[in-house]
Amino acid sequence: MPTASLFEYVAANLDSPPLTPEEGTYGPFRPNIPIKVPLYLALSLYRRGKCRIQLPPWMTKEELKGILEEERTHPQYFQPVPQYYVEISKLLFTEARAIFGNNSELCEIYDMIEELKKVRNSKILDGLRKVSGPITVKLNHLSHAESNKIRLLFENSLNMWHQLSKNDKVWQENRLAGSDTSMTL
Amino acid sequence: MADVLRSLDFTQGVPADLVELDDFELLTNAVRNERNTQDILEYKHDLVERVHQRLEDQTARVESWKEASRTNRFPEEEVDMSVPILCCTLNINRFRFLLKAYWRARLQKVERFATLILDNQELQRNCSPKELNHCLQYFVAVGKCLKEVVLARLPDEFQTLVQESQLTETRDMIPMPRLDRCVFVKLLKDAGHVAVDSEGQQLVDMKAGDIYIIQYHHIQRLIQQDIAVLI
Repeated sequence: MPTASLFEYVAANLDSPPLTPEEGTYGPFRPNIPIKVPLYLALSLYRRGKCRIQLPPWMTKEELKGILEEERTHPQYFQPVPQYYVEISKLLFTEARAIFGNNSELCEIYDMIEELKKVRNSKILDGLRKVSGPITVKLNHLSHAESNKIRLLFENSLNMWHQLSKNDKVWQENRLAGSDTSMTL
Repeated sequence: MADVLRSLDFTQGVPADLVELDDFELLTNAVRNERNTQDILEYKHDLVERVHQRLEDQTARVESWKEASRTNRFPEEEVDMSVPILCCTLNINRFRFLLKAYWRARLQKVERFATLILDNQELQRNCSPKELNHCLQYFVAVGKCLKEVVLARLPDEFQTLVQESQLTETRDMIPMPRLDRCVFVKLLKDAGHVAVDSEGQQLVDMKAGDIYIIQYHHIQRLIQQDIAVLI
């Protein structure tokens, strides 16, 4: 499944202002002027040494601390996070380590994101334990990676519950029909 | 989220409308919907034609840029076309991948439920002419193979493709899509109150941005009207 267009801030290293066919869409590329482009373009330009990538605003230490605090404070529901935060963070950690400054900052941000993933995962497992019948589940602000992780488990267990409840209904109806017949005899 | 392909038309003066979903998002949603359900959804004729046409135009334009850079047609301008060519090529590849994924997902379903589609006028309206053609050829080819390899060696009353035997009254060997399986759905717009059980008694107020895990047939109408997308 392709990732959606995810915008990163990119400061161009381009030596001269190029012809810009993307004018009006991704802005003219000028040296040292930050512009927003999708993640795939930012990484391609970064690999060719044509730009520097700036950290997305949600991936700073302060923002992540705030989101983590909110996640721990409210165990009943998820906090809004970027839909592809797992994928973006993995790509930036592997392909663009230089944007995190020194090693310690990289480790801190990495640890915070891992902690966030664990807290959210435990909320999902708590929710799964509470599923006791063929219900409709509401899971707002679920990220894409988390939904893929629980997809098979949730879908199959709910499908099984629905099948059991359907069989149960048919059995009840047959029992009532059978008991009516026995009364008339 | 702007669309590079749209902006590469130099005559266009009006900026892209960023409020509506652009073609990339529409095509992504279409691919997701096709992959996450067995239902035969309506073929997005307009969207596919539009994207296909623009892909061809942009491929031609990129080729002309590459040709110009190779022959160094405008040496006095000293223009470095590598970044625009890179940007356009990447975007063309993304759109090509999505188109192929869309067609593949649909063709897999058409092959799986070929008998049902050929039997059902409504489902035939949901398919494109090429898909219907493929469906017919696939059914004929597979039917012929099954008859020659297996059915011809069975007793006469068991030689039918669509029934268990000629003694059964209904055509019970036609595979049907399972519409009661649970799916992950995300609402793109407010959908009001939607029934979430088979009796229609339990209603849920679905707002834009909500994510639910629900049986497909309850939200089939929302998917057909592009109010929700399967994720």
